[in-house]
Amino acid sequence: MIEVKEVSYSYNGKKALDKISFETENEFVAIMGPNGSGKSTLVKLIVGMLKPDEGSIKVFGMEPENARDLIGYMPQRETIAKHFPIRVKDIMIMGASSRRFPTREEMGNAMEALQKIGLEHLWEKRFSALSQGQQQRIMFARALAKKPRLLILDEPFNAVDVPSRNMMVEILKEEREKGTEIIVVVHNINPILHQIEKVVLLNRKCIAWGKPAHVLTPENLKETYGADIQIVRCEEGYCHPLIGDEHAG
Amino acid sequence: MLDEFIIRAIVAIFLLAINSSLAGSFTIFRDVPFLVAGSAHAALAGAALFIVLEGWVAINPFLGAVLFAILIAVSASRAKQANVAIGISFAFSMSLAVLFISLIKEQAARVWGLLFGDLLLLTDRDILMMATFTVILLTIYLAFIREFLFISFDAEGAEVSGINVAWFNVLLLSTISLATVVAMKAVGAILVYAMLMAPAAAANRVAGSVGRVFLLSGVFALVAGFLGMLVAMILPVAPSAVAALMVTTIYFITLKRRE
Repeated sequence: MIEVKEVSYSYNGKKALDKISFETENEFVAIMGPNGSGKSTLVKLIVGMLKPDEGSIKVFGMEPENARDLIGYMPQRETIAKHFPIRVKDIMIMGASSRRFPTREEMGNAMEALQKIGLEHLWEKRFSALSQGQQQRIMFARALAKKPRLLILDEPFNAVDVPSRNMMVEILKEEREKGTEIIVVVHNINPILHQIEKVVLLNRKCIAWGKPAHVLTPENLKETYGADIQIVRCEEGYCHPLIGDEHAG
Repeated sequence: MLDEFIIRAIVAIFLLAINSSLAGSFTIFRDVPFLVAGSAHAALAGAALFIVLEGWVAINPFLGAVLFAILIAVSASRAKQANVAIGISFAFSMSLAVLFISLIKEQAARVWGLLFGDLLLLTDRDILMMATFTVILLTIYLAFIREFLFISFDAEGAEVSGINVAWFNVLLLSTISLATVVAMKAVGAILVYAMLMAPAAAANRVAGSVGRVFLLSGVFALVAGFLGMLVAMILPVAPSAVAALMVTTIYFITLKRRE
């Protein structure tokens, strides 16, 4: 449960977010907007990496930094170092345990998360030797390994091929069924459109917030992206904005 | 029986290898290669300042070197672009070094000595100082290796996991600066860059795990240090120069191997 109230944030005097407000109630939420719209800044505020200039954020009723034990976080791939030979198992354990010496259960959770995405055979491998898609899936598994109440994923499908992406979406669906709250930052919403319950449409301010069918309208999309965005209705009745990618079921 | 200068040089090579293994590897992992050069030159300014102050208070110039090197680490840790901050601090501290040295003309040789160092001319006091700081560094690395690795790999993830990234970043960069000053005692400010960076950079290219980078960089530094000393015992050359040539050659060989 996340409560974002009148939140503003500026970088060097330039407003990145302006009076953003929304409230989630254990839902699968997508944050969507063009490049530079403040999506990642909003996520950093939610996990407590940044402090709002104005307004307040509560996660499960707590200050974000106090709720970190409940959050599984996957950062954008550009922020990860890939130039030294850290092994997959070390990364997985980093995610699963906050202790110096992880327990047997935490090691088990790390392996289980890796098995879930079908990459358990890479346990001993160097992270830097893997393909970009495999690296993304490992980071996704690391967020799952903590068995969090809230999953926050920043552009999780970047560089991931379609079959792997579909597998990740299936896992998110299972997590949701187990009651995990999920926040996903996406450039292209189509891979998860059938699973999400709410959308935040963002371009420095909150253009719209609510159910996808109400938010993803031609007017809102034009205001967000500054251009006419074509919308296609799929067989299941979902309205897919055609932004940079294909429709994935 | 071995000459006491040789015994001290052997001990110094072991201490150098430990610093090269730990601080050198983390310099590569944290991607702050310029910090070693920046710290070494800031250390010159610190040592020169403390020599200037010797006229009023009795303080060891080595502590001045440590203080200035850590200041450059702190400034780097606060900057968004660490390598730019290190570069500017480098220029600032070198200007200070030249300024202070001009004030102590009759003792300038003591400062310039830091530029080159001499493995075979170390005193018991130098070794004691190097050993003390190496033990402190080793303790810090053993205590916080998980945090240091986590912030080097994924600072955002580390922050969300509850690690105080800003604090551990200052601590990590300070340990690198401190290790630089320790190693400078043996090889000087110019060659310290080669002795800390090249073994770790070479190890990073060939090792299959973080643990092996630590191990291999220590081995490379150790072998180069001993070969440098052996050559210097036979030929009239500086041991640290030979050692630095060795480790940089190892690095170039590893480049070739991957190609």
